[in-house]
Amino acid sequence: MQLSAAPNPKTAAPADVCLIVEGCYPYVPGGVSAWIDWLMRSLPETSFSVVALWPKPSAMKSRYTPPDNLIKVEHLYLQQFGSAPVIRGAVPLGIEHLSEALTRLTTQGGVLALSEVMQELGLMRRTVSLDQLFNSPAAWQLVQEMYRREMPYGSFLHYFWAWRALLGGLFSVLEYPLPKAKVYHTISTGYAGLLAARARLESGRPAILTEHGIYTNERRIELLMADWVADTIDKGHALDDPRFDLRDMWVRAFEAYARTCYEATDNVITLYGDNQQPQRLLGADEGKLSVIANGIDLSRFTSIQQASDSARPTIALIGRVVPIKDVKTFIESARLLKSRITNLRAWVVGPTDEDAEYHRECLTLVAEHGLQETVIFTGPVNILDYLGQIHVMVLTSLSESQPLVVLEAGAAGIPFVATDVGSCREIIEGRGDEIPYLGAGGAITHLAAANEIADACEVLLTGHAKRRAAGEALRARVATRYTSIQAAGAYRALYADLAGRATGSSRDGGA
Amino acid sequence: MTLAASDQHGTAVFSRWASRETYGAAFAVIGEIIVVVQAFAANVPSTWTLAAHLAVVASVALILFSGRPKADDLTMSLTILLIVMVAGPAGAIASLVMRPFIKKPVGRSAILRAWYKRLSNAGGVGPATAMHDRVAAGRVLRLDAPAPDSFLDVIENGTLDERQTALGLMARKFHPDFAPALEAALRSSEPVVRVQAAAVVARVRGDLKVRIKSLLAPDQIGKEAAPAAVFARASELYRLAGCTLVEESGRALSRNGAKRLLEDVLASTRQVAEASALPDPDTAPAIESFLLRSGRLKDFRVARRVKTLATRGHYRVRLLKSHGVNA
Repeated sequence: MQLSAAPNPKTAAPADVCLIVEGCYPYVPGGVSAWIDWLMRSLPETSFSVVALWPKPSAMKSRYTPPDNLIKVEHLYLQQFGSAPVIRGAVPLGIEHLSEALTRLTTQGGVLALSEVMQELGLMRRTVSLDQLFNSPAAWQLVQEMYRREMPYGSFLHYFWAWRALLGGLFSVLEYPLPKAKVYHTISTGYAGLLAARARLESGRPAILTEHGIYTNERRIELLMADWVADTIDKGHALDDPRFDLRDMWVRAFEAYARTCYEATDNVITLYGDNQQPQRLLGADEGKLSVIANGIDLSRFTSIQQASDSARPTIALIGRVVPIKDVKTFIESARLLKSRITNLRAWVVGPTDEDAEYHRECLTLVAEHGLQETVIFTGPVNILDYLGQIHVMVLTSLSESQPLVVLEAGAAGIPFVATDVGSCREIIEGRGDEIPYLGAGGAITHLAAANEIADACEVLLTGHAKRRAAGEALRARVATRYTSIQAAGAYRALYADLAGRATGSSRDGGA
Repeated sequence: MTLAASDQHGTAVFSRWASRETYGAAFAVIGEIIVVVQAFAANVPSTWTLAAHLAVVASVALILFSGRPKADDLTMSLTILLIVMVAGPAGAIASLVMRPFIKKPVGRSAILRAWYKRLSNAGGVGPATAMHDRVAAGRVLRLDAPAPDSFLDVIENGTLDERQTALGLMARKFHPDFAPALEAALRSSEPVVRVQAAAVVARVRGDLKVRIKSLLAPDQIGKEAAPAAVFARASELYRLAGCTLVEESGRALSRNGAKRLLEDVLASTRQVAEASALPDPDTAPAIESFLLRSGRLKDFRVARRVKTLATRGHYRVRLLKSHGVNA
C-alpha cells in the first residue's frame, strides 16, 4: 500500500495529531474517509499522521490526495503477527498470569486489564520476543488454558483458529511501534481504539475517540449474522442458553475492547445524540461524552433557488443505487404517489454501477409499475444542478449515520422525508433541547414504509406554504448547528485544549 | 492379555505374568540346589557360597521383575523372592510347590481393584474420557430447557440483548413465519434494534430471492418423482408468496411456480383425494392453497374431508375410495 502523492519532507517530525483508522482512509472512499480528509484540510495549521489498520498488505491504491499537513501514513497489519513457528522451547515463567490477564482483557476489558497484559508481556519480552511467543509451545499452553477456562465443551479446533485471529490482532496492536504525537485520535473502537488506549497508557498523551457509527454494534450485527463463524453448540432457537460459543467470544471481545477504549480516552465524541446510548451501555463515562456533528459548507448552496409551486412536482432520492438505500421502497412510494399526483417526477440521483443487479431489479420494478416516465435514474451528476428543481427530498435508507445529503438539502431550503435512521430525526425534527424551536424540516417515517413516505410527500407537495416553511426550518437548523466551520472549530479547540493539557502534564513531570 | 480381556473372559483367564513367577521359582530351585551341592561336595568357603546364593537371588529378581509394568500386582513375585532369599533351597522348593495353589486370577483382581478404587474415591474416569463426556454433553440441544419464546414477543418485550440475539437467529435461520417479528423490529423505538433489523431484512431479502430462484429453476420443476417432494416445494413457494419480506414480483413468481408444479398432479378430484391422504405435513397446505386460488371449492372440500379421514385411519380412506370419492 502506498500513498499516491510524493512523500512529504516533514516525515521525521512528530505530528500534532495521530489519527488511528481501521479499514477506510486512504484506500476505501466513504463517509469516514471523506470526514478524515475534511478534518485534515479544515485544520491546515495542525500536522497529522495516520496509522491505518488493515488485515494484511494489499495492492489497493490511495483514493485521496494527501493534504500538505499530513506528514506520514503508517500501516498496522492485524493478520500478520508471529514469526516462524518454534517446535521446541521452554515455556516462559508466568504464562499462567499472562493467560489470566489476556482472558480479563478479552472478556471484560478496561484500562487495568490492558495495563496488566502490557506488564505481563513486558516480563515475557525479557526471555522471548512477542512474535516468537505467539508461535511457540508457550502459545500452545496459553490457548489450552484459555480454552479450558472459556468453553471447555466447545470445538477446540474452531476455538484455536478464532483465538489465533483474535489474539493475533491484539498482539499486533500491542507490539506496534507507537508513532509520536501530541494527541492520539481514533475514529473507532475495536483494534484502533485499543491502540489509542495503549498510546494513552504508554505515552501519557491525551487520546480521543470520534465514533461515526457504533463500531461494537456494527461488529455485533455482522457477527450475529455471519455464516463464517461456526456454531459449535446446538442451542436451537433458545435465546437464554448460557453456554458460551465462538460467536459470543467474538462479540464479547469487541465489547471488551470498546470498554477499554472508552475508559482510556479523554473524550468520547459522536456525530449525534442517539449514538451515545450504546456508548453509555458499554460503560463510557457521562462526563467524557459529547457530540460534534458533521457540517457542510453553506456557501455552495446559497445561490440555489427553490423549485417554484408551478413546476412539475418532483421528489428525489440522492444516493447510490444499492440495497442499503432501499431504492425499491422509493419506487413503491412513487407508485403510490403517482396515483394521487399524476404529473409526479421522481429522480434517483447517484451512481448505478456499484450493484448492477440491484439496479436492474429497480429498472424492472419501474417497468412493472409502468413508471418509466415518472422514475428517472440520472446516474452520477452534480447535485447542485438538480437541487433547484426538487420540491421534496427523500431518503429511504435502511442504515445511515449522519447523511450529508440531508444537510445539503437543508442548506438549499428543501424539506426532507427520511426513514428513522442515524441522525435524520435529529436534523429534520430538531433535538429536544433546541431553543428556540425552529420547526420540523420535513417528516420521519418508519423503515421500508412506502405508504408513510408517500403520505408525507403528498402533504409537502400539495401544501406549498407548508413545504416552504419546512424548507426554511431545515435551512435554519443546518445553518445553526451543522456548518463545516462549526465542526472544524470544535476540533481545533479540542486539539488545542488537549495539547495544552499534555504540555502542562509534561512540565509537571508527566509522561 | 489386557485387563479388559480379563474382564470379558472371567476368572478362567490368568495373567501371563503368572508363568514368569513359575519360571522364577523353578530357576531358584535349580540355582539353590547347585549352590548347596557345591558347598558340600567341593568344600567351597562359606563366603563364596553366600555370594553364589545372592547371585541366584539376583537372577530370580531379574526374571520376576524385569520389564514388568509399574501397575502390575507384584505381591506374588515379592513373596517368592523373599522366601528364596531367606530360606535358600528350602524356600525355593516351597515357592515352586506353593505356586499353583496361591496363583491369583487377574480378572478378579481387576474387578477388586476397580471396586477398591471406587470405595476410596481415588480414581474416577480418566481425563480424556471426562473431556469427551463434557464435550458430548455440552454441545447438544438441551431438550429439558424451556421452549423458546416467540420472536415477536421477544422483539416487543425482550431486553436489548435478547432482541439482538433473536435478530441474529432470524438472519441465520430465517423462516417466512418470522416476517412479522422482523417488521416489528424495523419499527422498534430502539435505534440499535432498527439498524440491526434493517441489516437482517437486507440479507433475508437477498437469501429469499436466491431461494425462490432455486425453487423455480427449470431443471427442478417437474423433476421430482416423489409426490411428497413436489408438495414440499409447492408448499414452500406458497409460504414465500405470502411472505411480506419478498418483493411483489418475487411473490408473484412463487405463486405461479407453485401453481405450475401442482397443475398436473392435482388435475382431477381423484388425484386431489389421493394426494390429501398423504401423511406429509407439507401436503395439505400446498393442496389447499392451490385449490382455493384455482377456485376449485368442491375439490377443496374433498381434500379437507380426506385429510380428516386420513388422520383417523387409512382403512376409512380406502373405504371412501372404494365407494368413489367423486360421488
